Amino acid sequence: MQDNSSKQILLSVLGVAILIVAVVGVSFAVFTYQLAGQKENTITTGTITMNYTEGQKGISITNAMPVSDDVGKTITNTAGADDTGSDLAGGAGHLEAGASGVFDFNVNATINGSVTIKYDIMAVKKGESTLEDQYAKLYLQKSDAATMASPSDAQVPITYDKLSEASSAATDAGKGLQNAKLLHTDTFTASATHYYRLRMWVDNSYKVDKTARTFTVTVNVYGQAV
Amino acid sequence: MADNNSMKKETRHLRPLMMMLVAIVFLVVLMCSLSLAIIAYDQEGSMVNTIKTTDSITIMYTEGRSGINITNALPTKDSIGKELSGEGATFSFTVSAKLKSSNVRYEVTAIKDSSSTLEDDDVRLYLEKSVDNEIYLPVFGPSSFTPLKEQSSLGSPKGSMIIETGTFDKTQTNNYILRMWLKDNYNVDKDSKTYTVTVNVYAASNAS
Repeated sequence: MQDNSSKQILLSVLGVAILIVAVVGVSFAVFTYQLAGQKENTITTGTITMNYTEGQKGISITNAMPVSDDVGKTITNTAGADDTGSDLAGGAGHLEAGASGVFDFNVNATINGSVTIKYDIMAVKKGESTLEDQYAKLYLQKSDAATMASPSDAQVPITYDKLSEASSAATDAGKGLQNAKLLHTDTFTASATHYYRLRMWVDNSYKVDKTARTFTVTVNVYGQAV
Repeated sequence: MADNNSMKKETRHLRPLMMMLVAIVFLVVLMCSLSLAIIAYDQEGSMVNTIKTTDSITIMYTEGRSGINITNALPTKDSIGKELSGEGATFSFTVSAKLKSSNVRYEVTAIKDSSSTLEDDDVRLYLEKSVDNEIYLPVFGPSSFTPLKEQSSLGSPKGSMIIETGTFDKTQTNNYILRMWLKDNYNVDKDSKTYTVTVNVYAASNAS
């Protein structure tokens, strides 16, 4: 009987001891903290909008004869007052009614932020062109005015074969362009519009024969922030 | 003699009971002591976050006067982003501990605001640390924001990004400078986008 009583007491003491150990064990548990910040850290992107706007008409000259650069640089964009077409001065060719002897376009950038944008104006020859590259003369002028007042030479008269290869372009996209030549590279450092006028004529080294030939290009513009 | 035996028997019965009583009293005293170990979380003002436990541990997270606020941000090389300076270009803060005998583990975590419209890959974060507030060394990045897939052991929530981990084993202040910029190959277009993070600190101590 005494043994049973002792066992019971022993078990009770053991039970209490276990409880103490459990509580003491809990007292060593990890205390965690969360410290929440208040300050917001924000970046807001700038914006760049670039537009390439073509004029209403492209160059369409027929019966073009070889002419000198002095003549080619004076090719106009008028078709004549009687709407029946007109011959260009110096024999540069003929404009049908409504046709244009020049190609006007502009490149515009709207920039929010401090950035420099480089852009390339590329001339892409169309596959159906039959006139050899060395006889197609191109000439590009630039102005800050839509009227093309006080223009400067962006690309002096040059035959297509002598234009810089696309690999010389300032932009990655321009460099990768196939069947294209670099007409002109320029930059924007602020919002602005650059106006351009392209002329084309047959170089005076060309020997006219019984075959009519054509030369067609389109103009692409590629921009890149640097 | 019979009385003596009887008295001895009674004493023997009482002794275990006394022992139990002492044990229970001890237990009660112990639990009362533990219940007095109050964890108090105080946030004072808008710039200082303090947690005080007992006198043995104080953790503080103090933010600088202003956070990063960059407008018209444009793609930036890491070499330039790491050198950004000036008001609004960097975010300074400190994490400090006042300890007597404990260790405190902590994490500094960037919490992305849900209003952000830039992708995580479009931004770069970079953290420098100094213990003397003079010489700063890089401890994180430059890196894009990479969210946690699940909550960390210290409590950094899922979706946040841990940018620093450390341990205090003595009273010390760690100074930090956070920088953030637009990744250099981001294609800026006509739409303005934003990216916002706040910084939290999660800590844990083993208190005895």
